Amino acid sequence: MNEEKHTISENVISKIEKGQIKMRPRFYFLLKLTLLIIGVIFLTLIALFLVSFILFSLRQNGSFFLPNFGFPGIRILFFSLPWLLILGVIILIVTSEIFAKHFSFVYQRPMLYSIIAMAIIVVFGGIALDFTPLHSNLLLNAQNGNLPIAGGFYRHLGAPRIPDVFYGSISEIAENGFKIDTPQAETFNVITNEKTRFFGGILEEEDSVIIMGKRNGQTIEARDVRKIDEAQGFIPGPKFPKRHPIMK
Amino acid sequence: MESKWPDEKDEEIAKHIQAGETDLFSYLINRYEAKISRYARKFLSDSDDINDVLQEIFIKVYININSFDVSRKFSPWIYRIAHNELVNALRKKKKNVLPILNLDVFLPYNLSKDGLEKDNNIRDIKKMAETCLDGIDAKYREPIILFYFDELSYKEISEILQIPVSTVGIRIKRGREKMKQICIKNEKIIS
Repeated sequence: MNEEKHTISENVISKIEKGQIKMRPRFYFLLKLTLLIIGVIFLTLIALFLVSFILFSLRQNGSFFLPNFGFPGIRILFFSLPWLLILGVIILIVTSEIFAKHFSFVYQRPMLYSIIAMAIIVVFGGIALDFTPLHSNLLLNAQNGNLPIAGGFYRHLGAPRIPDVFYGSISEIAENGFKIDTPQAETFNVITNEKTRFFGGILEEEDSVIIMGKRNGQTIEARDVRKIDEAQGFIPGPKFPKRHPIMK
Repeated sequence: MESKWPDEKDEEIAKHIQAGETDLFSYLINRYEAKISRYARKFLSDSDDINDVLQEIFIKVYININSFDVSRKFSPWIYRIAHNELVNALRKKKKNVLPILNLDVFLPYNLSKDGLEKDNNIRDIKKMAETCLDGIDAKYREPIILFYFDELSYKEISEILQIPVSTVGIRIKRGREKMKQICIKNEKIIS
């Protein structure tokens, strides 16, 4: 044992003396630490951005207000959620957690705490970012072809359509229905009849509405019409027409 | 020099090594070799493997000595390197006895006050560990070795294994219970 001890010590010291092993400079560890911190912040910011984008896209297509239609609305909302983006956010949070676990203030506490803390930062940060006109402006630029890198992302995912669900602002009231302008800058004639169910009070111009019904060209045969207040969404957001620069 | 350094704290010696007095590194090797060797022996059985891992650990310690914060304790830092090297060695031997992620790091645990203090029957537990420790999972074995044999605190073990302090406590508690069960079973077989 004593001989072994000697050998290990001597071997290591001999390697040091011969220059076969060298100390890494302090700068190396500082750089590693800095990259780690930047990595955690960067991943958290991307997750936060994606959350705000998900909220924005849900608001754009009216998904936010679907729970107002009860269970059928909740069912449609569930199936219309952008699950790929949600999975992306979860992966980013988990990756960020793996990076953050190098810090003692993170690993010394149960992982549940840090994941909850990370989720709170990402969700509330995402909600805060959703209140800014960032996504509206980016979507507008994407639709005008002025957003080269993320343009496709915004055009495809920024205002996804849910089958048989339409969201917009009433631009004109007619005898057998009304006209709506959607956040996607489209105009629809909404036809109502005696079977159409109305929720949320008398409709007036500039009211925001969500409609469930069959589309035929630019005409929608409304089955259900609900007048909505943006505060009725499951996460409150800014008022509808004012924050959609693509609306005329 | 001989008379001065043996009484110096590890952290002080590490500080001098960082400053370029590399010949002092042998003091650190001499201080930790037996401890780390005993720690490694609980996971590796082949003495050649143990020596190789020990040498690799001290090489890593030297290479990374500048990452050690001299305001903190040196022992958890060197044990952390030893832990990582053991995990690598076991992985090479395809013995994944120390999984990277366990569910017990996820949830919080309430540790009773007596759980945070050293057990009154340390001698009994050490004796029990000599014969029954090998029978329990490595994830319980490791904190038991560090707590009872290397006399490190829960917080220090938490730094070495990079797991929550409460998880260290719960693993030691569960490991002790499992050890007792194995010992009782073995006694029955013998009798």
